[in-house]
Amino acid sequence: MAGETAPKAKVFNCPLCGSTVQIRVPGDTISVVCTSCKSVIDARDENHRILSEAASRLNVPQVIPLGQRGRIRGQLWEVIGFMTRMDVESYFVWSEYLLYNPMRGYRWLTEADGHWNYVLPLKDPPKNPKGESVLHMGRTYRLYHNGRATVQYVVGEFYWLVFVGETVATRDLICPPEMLSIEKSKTEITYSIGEYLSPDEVREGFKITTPMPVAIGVAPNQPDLLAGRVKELLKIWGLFLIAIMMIQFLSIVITGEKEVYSGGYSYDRTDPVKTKTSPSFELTGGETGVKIGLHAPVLNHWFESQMDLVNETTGDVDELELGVEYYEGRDDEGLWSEGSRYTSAILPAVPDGKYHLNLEGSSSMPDILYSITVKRGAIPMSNFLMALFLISIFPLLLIWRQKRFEMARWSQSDFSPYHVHKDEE
Amino acid sequence: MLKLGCPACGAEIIFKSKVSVFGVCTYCSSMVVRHDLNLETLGKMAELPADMSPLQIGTRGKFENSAFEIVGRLKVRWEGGSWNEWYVLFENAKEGWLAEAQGSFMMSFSESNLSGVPRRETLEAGQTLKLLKNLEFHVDDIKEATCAGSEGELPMKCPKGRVSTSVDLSREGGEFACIDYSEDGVRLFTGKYVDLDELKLTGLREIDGW
Repeated sequence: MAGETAPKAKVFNCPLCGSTVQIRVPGDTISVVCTSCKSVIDARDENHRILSEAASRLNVPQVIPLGQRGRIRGQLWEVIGFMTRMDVESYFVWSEYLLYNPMRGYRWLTEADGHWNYVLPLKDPPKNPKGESVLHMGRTYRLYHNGRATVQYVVGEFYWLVFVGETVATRDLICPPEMLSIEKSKTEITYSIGEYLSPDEVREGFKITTPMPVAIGVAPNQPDLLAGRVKELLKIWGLFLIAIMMIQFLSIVITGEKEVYSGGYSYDRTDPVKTKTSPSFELTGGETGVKIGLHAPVLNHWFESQMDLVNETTGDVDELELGVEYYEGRDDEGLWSEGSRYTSAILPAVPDGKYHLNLEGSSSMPDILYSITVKRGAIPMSNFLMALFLISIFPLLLIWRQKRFEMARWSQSDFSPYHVHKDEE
Repeated sequence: MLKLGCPACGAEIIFKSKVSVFGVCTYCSSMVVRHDLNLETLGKMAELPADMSPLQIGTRGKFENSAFEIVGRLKVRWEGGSWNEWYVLFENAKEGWLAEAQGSFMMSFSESNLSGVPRRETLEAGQTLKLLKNLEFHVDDIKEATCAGSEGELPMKCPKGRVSTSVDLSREGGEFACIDYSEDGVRLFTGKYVDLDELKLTGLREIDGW
C-alpha cells in the first residue's frame, strides 16, 4: 500500500577486513559477527561500528551452516547465528544455533554430546523458579545442574549484543523430554524450555548430509522411549500373573484329590527285610499327578523313606525320597518346636494303571510305625512356579534396564537421586 | 471514514478511525495533524528503517472473533533494539495495538481506568502494582523509547524523535500491561500474547522465501 519494497537481507562490507557481511533480519538484529574476521559489529549503527575484535579467526565447525533453512516439528526456520558456550567449572562445551522465522520469532537449536534440543524462549516464566524443583504449566522440573556458561565462539547475527567471554549463571531443571533453563546475567533473567529432539529429526529437518555428532550417553532430558512400553508390559505381566494363578487354583478345585491307598508300616533297624511292598492299587481318571504322603510320629528324631512307585504293567519306576523330622524343647522364651511329622511330594503326570510302592525306611530311632497315603489328581506346584519365573524374567530385565537408564541420565548431575553424595576429588 | 486533502501535495489522506489525529501522506510522506476537518503539516517523515515484519498497513485479521485492519504503525527504538506498534481498527470501531517485538506479537487495548498507575519518577523495575480492579502486575522493565518513524494514521502525534517512557508489566497467565509516559500524558494498555496463526491474517507483506 505504501509502495514498500519487499524486505530483504542487508549487505555491507566489514569495516575491519572488508569482507561482505549480511544481516538477514534487519530491524531486530542488534549485533552481527563478520564470518571472515569474527569481529562483532553494531548492526544498529549506520557506520557499522566494530564492537569487539576477535582473538582468533579460526572457524569452529558447524553441523548446520548459517543461512540454512530447515523444518523442526513442521515449522520452517533459518539458521542466523551460531555460538559455542562452555561451562566454566566442568569445561563442558556445547553448540547453539539461533533460528529465525519472521512469523514466529526466534528459537534455539542446541547440540551437546550429539544430543539435540529445540529451545523456546519463555514469555510466561514460572512463578517460583528457586529451589530443587520448579512447577511450570503443571509440570514439575527437577534441578539437574547449576553452572556458569561463557561464550567461546560466535558467528552470525543476534537480537542482543553478543561478545566472546560473556558469562551468565545457569540453572537447568529437567522433566523429560523437557528442560527448563534459567540464565541470569547482571541485567536480566531469561527462561527457556528445551525439548529433546532425536538426531534424526535434526538431520532430516535440515537435510544434513555430513555425519552428525555421535550421541554419547543419556542426555539430561532424553525421554526413555521404552518407559511407556514398560508400563504397558507391566500391565500385561500383571494380567498373566492373575491368569496363571487362576489356572492353578481352578485346576486344584476342578480336579480334586482322591485317596487311592493308605496303609501303615513298621520300621525296625534290625529287620532283615529292608524293603516293604504295598498292596497293589489302581490309578484312574487320566494322566494327572500323584501325591504321596508320609507320616511318622517322630519326636526329636528323624525318619525317612526311599520310595519307588512301580507300574505293574510296564515296569516303569518313579523314585522319590520323603523324610520327616520334628524337635521340641523349652528355653528362656518358653516352648519351641521345629519341623513336622508329615510331608508329601507330587509325582507329575502319572499314567493310569496298576501300581504298588516299594518302601525302604531309615531313621535315627531303632524302630517306629509310619503311614503312607497315595492320592490321585494332585496338581504339582512346580509347573506353576516355573511359569511364574518364565513370564517374569523379561519384565524384571526391563525394570532393571529402566533403572540403569535413569542412573545414566543423572550420572552428570550433582543432584542425582541415585547417589547421596558426590566424591570430592 | 474521513477523506481529506494533503496540504502539501493535494493527494487524498484517509482517516479510517474517528480518533486518528496524526497521519503520514502516502504520496509525499508529509506528516499531518488533524484539527477536526483541517490538516496541518509538520514536515516530511523520513523513510522507516527496514525490518522483516510480515505485517503492513492494510493487513486484516481476526482477534477473538472480531475482524480488524491495520491502519497505522509506529516504530519505536530503545537502547536494546526496536519494536513495532501496529495501530489496528476493529469492525466495531474499537481500536487496539498489535505490538511486534523480535517475532513475538501482543494485542493490547487502551484502559481508561488509570487508578494505581504511579508517577514516572516513583516507578521502579521489580515493583508490584495494583492496577484496574486490584489486579497485581509485576514491573518487568522500564525503557526510554524514541519514535523512529511512523506511517498511516495514528491516534496521537508521532513525529520521528518523539520520546516516551515505556513500562512493561506482566501478570500470571501470560497477561501483560504497558504504561506509556509521554508529553501527551499517561496511557495504560492491557493485553496478551498472540500467535499469528490465530489471527488468520490476510494481506501480509511478502517476505523473500517465507
